[in-house]
Amino acid sequence: MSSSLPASDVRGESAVGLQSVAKNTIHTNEHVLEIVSDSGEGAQKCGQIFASVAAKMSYGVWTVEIIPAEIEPPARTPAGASGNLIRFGREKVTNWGDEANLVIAFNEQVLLSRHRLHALADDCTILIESRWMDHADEEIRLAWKAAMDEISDSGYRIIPVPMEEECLRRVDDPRKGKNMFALGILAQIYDLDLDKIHDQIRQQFAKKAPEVSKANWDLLQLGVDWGQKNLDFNVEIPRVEVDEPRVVMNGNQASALGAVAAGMEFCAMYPITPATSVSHYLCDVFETYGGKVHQSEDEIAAAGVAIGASYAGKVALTVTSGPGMALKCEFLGLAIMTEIPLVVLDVQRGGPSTGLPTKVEQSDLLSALYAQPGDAPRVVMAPATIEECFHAMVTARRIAKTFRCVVIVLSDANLASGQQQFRRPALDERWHAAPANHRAVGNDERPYDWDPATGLSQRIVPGQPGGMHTVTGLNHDQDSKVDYRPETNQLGCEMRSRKLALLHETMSPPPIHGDDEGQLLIVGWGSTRGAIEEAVDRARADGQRVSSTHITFLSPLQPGLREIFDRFDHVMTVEINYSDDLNAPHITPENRRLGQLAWLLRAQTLVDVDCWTRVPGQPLRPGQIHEAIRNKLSSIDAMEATRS
Amino acid sequence: MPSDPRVTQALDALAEPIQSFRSMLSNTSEQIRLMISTRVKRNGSSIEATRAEFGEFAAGRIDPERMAKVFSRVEPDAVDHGEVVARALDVCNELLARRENLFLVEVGEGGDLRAAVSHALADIGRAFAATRIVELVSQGSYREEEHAKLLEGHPFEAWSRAERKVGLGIVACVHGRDLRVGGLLDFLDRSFRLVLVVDGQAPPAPLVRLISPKVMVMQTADAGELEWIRRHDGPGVVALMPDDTARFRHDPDGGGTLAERMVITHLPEEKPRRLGVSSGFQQREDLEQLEALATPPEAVTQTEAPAPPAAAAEPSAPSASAASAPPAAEAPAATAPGDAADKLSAWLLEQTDLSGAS
Amino acid sequence: MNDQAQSFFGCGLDDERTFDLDDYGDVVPRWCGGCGDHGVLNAVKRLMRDEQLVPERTVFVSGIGCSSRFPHYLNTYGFHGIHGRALPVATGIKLSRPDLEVFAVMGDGDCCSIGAGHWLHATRYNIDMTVLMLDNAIYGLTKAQTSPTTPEGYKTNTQPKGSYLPALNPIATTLGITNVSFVAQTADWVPAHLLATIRAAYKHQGFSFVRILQRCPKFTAPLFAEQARTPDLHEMLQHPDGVTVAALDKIYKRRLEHDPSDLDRARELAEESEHVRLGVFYRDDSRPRYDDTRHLPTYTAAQNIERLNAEFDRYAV
Repeated sequence: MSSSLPASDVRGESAVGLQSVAKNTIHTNEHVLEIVSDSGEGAQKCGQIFASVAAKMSYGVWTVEIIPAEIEPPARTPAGASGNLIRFGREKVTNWGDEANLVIAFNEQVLLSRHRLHALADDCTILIESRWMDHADEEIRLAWKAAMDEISDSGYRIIPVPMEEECLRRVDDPRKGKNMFALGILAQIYDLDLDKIHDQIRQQFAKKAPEVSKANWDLLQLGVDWGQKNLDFNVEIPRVEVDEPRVVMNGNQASALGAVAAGMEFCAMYPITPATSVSHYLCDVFETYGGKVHQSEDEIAAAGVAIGASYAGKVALTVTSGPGMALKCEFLGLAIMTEIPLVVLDVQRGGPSTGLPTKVEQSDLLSALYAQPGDAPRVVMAPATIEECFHAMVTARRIAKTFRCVVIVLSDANLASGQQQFRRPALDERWHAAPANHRAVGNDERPYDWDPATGLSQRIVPGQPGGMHTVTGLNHDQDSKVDYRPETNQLGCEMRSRKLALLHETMSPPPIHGDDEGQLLIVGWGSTRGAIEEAVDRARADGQRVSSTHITFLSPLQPGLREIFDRFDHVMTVEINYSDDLNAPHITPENRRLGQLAWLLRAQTLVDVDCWTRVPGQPLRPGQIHEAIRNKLSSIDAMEATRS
Repeated sequence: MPSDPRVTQALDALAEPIQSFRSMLSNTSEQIRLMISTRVKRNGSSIEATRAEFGEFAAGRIDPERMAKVFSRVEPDAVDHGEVVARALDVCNELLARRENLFLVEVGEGGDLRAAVSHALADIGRAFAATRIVELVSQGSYREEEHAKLLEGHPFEAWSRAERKVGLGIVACVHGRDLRVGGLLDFLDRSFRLVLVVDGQAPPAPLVRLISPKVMVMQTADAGELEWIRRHDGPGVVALMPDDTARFRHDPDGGGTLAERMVITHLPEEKPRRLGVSSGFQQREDLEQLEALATPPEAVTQTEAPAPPAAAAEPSAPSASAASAPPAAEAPAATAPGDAADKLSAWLLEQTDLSGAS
Repeated sequence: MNDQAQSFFGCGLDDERTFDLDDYGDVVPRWCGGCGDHGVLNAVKRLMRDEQLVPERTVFVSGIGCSSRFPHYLNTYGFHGIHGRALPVATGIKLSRPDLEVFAVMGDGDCCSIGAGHWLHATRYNIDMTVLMLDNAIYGLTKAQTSPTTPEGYKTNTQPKGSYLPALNPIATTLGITNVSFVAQTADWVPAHLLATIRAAYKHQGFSFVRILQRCPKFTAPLFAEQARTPDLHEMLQHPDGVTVAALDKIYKRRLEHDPSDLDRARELAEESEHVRLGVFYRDDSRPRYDDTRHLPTYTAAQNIERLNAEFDRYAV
């Protein structure tokens, strides 16, 4: 039954009938499934509930949102595909995996979009709303036919589902209920715990009337019953019960809760995709903790308000994405110059300019490090998982305070909207700042009392008697007095830079995934860690001498890299940003523009670091990276063969 | 007397300053506790503390031992005198544990009202003392022999301006015959509100001696009238009196002139007689003064200086005046600020070269 | 005006100090001789002395420009930031520390040009701060470029044939912003009025915007010279709720009764006239204040952890 079916045959299959059919059970350790619909039909909600319930059942889970770029894209178009990808399985899942094994699609156009993006495995099972097939509108019938023709070369197994017809048995507007019906089918296929789904639905609709939950439960049950009666397969994935308490959430929620757990009390922001949901979430919960979220008139003001709040004694947070970073640039320079601690969360998206607002990219690395007139050292760090999004905020606040510096946390759209489960953090009040202490300032204390060896100094904040001074973005001496003398300017630059060297001194080299030495070392940063490590594992299973390492602190760059690189014949970064392909026209090793981490590593280690980067607007797949590794190794082999 | 329903009503009328004080006290206590856990406890275990403070993201990436050395440079590793900080915390917690009772004073029969209130304030002041001690310790300027005794009692006279500004409400139960209020004026300079619950026979109008421009002063027999003090934002004293004493209210927000601020609703008919230490003459004098105060100004210009009118030369926001004005306790007839501003402006004008050639 | 502190920390340190003019700074400013900024600095110091502002609880925030050197000449906390951005910084300070007295000092380029967006929104936020816009109708620090308030036809280095457009009217503009709560105009050459005006602004609870006409002897001397010399070119707005300086009555004879609660009239008066109008154009103490509505209780670390744990329960697996 795995061959594609012409439309006319499909109709026959949908008439399988009302009796339960015998089930063929597929045993597997994991599955990748997608739920796609037009925007507004609720596929995302369906996916979120599925993922939460799977996580609560102890499955490893990773989800990626499939997001249209517009709020209300036209219905029944490939561009409007909206939904969720869920990879779940027996083991911990660290990335979104490869092509989908099962898709539930609300129309053939959104399915087509996934097909064209090569998102579906060749033997993918497709459950699709059947009403378009013989729709009264001839144009729709033709569109259906054309779509079926387009995908007919693949090996998909297509199962039409009369979603609307079934939903109409319970609700008047099936557009509002299909997602729950679909969830019911999925629950039946994967044998999900219905009680847990009920709980999740109740939570989702907690703010609405109880009848809403009830209607959704009924639709869910309709889906379960339909699957029971009509589908000839189910999927069984073993589970390993975990004994540690865990939570499941997306990266923006984790960052927001991390900010709260770190005792940060002030966040200033301006709405920008994909960072906005951090502030949505903070607005929702922050005030419960006595924190304030200030929505500024623009990105620049958001930086200024956060700096003002920090100056007055806190460590404030501002949340943004690439274009917002560009606007905040001058203010960040001021914070660095005046040594006002600040945490900046940059949820990266595709660029340049407005670029790909909803989609992932790792393109802000170099601008996070260097975008600034003059020398402006700051700390840059990148969480690799949603769990790290949470914990990074604690570390960021602490570093900002101790070193009186700006800390930029680089998250991305993949982490922001994906969901993972992780060990429930054991909250610690030592993560909070010690209480404000407006002690009197002694006569011998100075606002920039730099320790010449370290550049560190104690901060004096308004309210401290005897500490009055004016901070300034102009070059200044230890008393914060404007000073243009060459030696003072040299000293100020040295002191601000020295702090990074000191932080660097406290750091450890990144761990190596795989053997400590070998033919090829893959280096990554940020959200690609899971996919890179999975690809490396596959390559190693093939017998290849590949390892990987993942860099968390980009500024100051973690120590020991040169030493690690020297133990491998070749080093290559894998990143989601642009680099020239050496085989492209006009590109030579001399003019080739590299991935951003590759630039950085080459400059800092003097090692000839290669890169493999892509900007697909979606996370990298382990399969893709595996292939890149294979290609790199064979080109190395070829080169060595020529040489010998 | 605590079973007296008027006491509950009085405490209720002062709920706002009492709760606000307790909330500040609770925050203070928490800050001291946090300081103990983040600073004092760091003694001897700074590596562990650093590991904890940097969180799990730093695990394996930032070495806590090396980082702890950085810390010792910028954040003093630990405070000395951990023991006195712990004692300060105990004081805060002890005061917190007393809940509303901290703000309730009972003057025993024949007791001295002023001394009792003063004692209560010194007791409450231990909260300020505890805070000061923690501040001194963290500045490194704490001296055991000089400062430790503060924790035993911190009298009102020693309170700082900011401490006096903290809103405070006290209920004092007193016998009518002991109702000597003169000394209370000392306490009524900022935002202190006092409700006297008076038992037994009392002089007719003793509170008249407390009337000064910024202080709400009221005598009443009706606990419902406590609403006035609840709504008043500034110093005030109210006595819940027995029947057949004078009932009057001096409300600083009532108007510019004394007559506008005074409302007398009842005057006793019976001639006053000696009661405790209060002579009949004294009581009559109180009553006469009360009547005089309520008479329109042209009739009394000789006997009572009118209160300063609302500053003429400056627009004063309604609630701004109380906070920024000098202490009103010494004399009701302070220089009118309007005059001062005018004089200054005139002087300034003289000082300035109008030609613009400077 | 201070909001109440949240704990007793800091209370004990506030002893019975009194502050003299010198306590607010004795640095000799590096403005040109004859610059109007000197007079504003003097008036501000006098205000602080009169109101006995506590130096360590007072913050002056400025942007970039001649006038933005202001904080350097005061012995308070100061924040000399970047061009046009004084108001966001001041907003952050006041929101996170309501106990501090916040002043923002800007020039006309700072406020009305590069920082114009913040000007509009800060007016609407109506956060309690005193805002002094020192308007010399020119970019002085960078040497004579046209500013938004440079009069039409006035020659500068960037518009050597004369400014092409009519000048922006900052008073009328501010009066047009929703939730505006205090707008006044004064001039550096009428010091008594200057002091009385900034005092009224300081006392107003909310965003008090004061445009101070300020002489620049270097680049706009002709614009203000006659004005400063001729009291009759002024019209003083007077009202018990506004600014009234009786001592000036003999010199400034042209006076107009104006009730500052009348917004429509204020807008009329803000429009061009042959006289420079000084005084409070508008004030409304009842406008909602963003810092008021965002005033939140604080929680202890332990309370936060308890609440956060409850939040985590929602995500528990």
